[in-house]
Amino acid sequence: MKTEEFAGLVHKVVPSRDFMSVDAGECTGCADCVIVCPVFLWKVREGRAVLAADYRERCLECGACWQVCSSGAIRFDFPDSGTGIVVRYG
Amino acid sequence: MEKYDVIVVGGGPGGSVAAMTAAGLGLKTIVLERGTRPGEKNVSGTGLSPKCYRDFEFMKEMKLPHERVATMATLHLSDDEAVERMSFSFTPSERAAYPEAREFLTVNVYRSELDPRLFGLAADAGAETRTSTRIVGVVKAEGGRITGVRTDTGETITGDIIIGADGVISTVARTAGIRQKWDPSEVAMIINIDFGAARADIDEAIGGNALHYWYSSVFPVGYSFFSAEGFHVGLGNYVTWWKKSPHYYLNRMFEIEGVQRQIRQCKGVAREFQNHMVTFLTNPTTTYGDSVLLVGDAAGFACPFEAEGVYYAMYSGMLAGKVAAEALSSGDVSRGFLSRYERAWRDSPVGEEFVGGEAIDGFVRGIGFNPEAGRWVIPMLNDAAFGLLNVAESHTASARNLPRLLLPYVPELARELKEDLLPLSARMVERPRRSARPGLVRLMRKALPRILPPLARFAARRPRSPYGEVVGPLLAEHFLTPYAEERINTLEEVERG
Repeated sequence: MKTEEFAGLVHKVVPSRDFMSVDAGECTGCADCVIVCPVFLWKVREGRAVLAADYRERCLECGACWQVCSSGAIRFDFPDSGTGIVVRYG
Repeated sequence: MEKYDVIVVGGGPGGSVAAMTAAGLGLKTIVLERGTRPGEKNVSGTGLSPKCYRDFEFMKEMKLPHERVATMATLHLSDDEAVERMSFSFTPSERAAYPEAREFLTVNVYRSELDPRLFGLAADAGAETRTSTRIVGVVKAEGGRITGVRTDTGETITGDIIIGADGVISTVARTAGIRQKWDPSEVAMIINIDFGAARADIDEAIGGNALHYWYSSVFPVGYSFFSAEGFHVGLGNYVTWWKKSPHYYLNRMFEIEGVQRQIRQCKGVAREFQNHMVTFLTNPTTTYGDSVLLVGDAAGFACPFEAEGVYYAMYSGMLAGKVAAEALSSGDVSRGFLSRYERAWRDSPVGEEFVGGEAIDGFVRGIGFNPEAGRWVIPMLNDAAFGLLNVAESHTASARNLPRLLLPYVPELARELKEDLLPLSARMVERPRRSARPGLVRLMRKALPRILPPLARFAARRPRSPYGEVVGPLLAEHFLTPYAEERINTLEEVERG
């Protein structure tokens, strides 16, 4: 059993609008966001952080990537009213 | 347009208690929650402390469907190979400070049950409640005065005071210009897996021993906390601490036979993967602004030791509600007037938790959140217990062997005592006593420099036993001399007034 296998065990109302992004011009490619995200939404390609295309379906809205980003390249907001993660057993 | 006295942003425990208090004091209050239901955006360690029940009447009648009362906690210590080496448990003291503290350690609950109940109590008190309402920011009039909030549907809600109870990433704090982001060193991330289980199976395997802490030399402090029909298994550390994916560490924790056994015995079935951030501040300094009061995580009010948050959110919510009422009746919602909120929380159990903030922080970073320290702490505690209790030899021989077992740990222990544990106990135990009698202060001022340094020198000159050789000089260097110096400095300060 690997705990990674549970990372998809979430309940969501998938947001219809974007709530996160990365400014490639600001990103230094440090990969702090890649390490900290427990649902593996970030990758570094050609020295820049890239957000998974399906992040709206998987993001837990913790904001850790935004919090660790020392260059300020990551923009994070909460998804629109009534959408996003639904924690049943928090 | 309808105008509110108080707009509370966030329908968690802090926001609901703030709204309940404000509405109870007759203020026209609205509380806004971005989820479709309060609690659906929240994750917590599940344990409500006895303080919640001591300080809030409504908690005394609160009985949640899936709560489990924890009457015992167990600390498990595991080594580099994820093998459990030692564990010990404790229960509430019969001489604890108040009745609830003598009865239980925590009540383990789900936020999906707690938060809606508190939200309902806010409504009962007269607050207007709205779910599925996310704000994009505060609204400012010309000149910068905050006049309300704007929702993501473009609606403007007008009000005199905004209480930001909107969590670690507080939109209120950000848009009111109070704070953009915490320093990364002040925030931890916690991940956990929720398991469902039958009540009878948890009763049988766990009972009231419902708080298990897993400390090791390979992963950050982990936990398995049990509610009535489920449990959380997880761990956390500062957001900047992780060298590898958090799952690497969680997997190491799941390798421990004791963790697997709990899941097996409870027949736990994984239901949900969760994570959240919590603040770990030594001293919150950004808790209000013009027209704005911040409560709970939005203010950084989580206990810097165990990250307990719900109680501090509720308590600060209550204080914010009261200060809002005072401000409105004085007709002054300026930052200057609202500074009395900071005085109020500093003078409350919330502020008391931060009196030893820096010292607690040192301990948490030095040992609690530092698996490296487990490399010596865990074998040391184990060898001490083994040395005292084993039956491998006669007890006379065991006693003789004890120094051989423990002396290798003394240098690390002495360093830790000096750097973290001593300041921690000093900060917590010795609150500055400005009212000390001048005569006594003068006497101690004269006596201490004469007593303590010679005592330190004496300790350093007693190398007659294996203990003395190692312990004496260390005691002198790390303990007595710095202690004497610090006492003398404190006394000088007191003398100067």
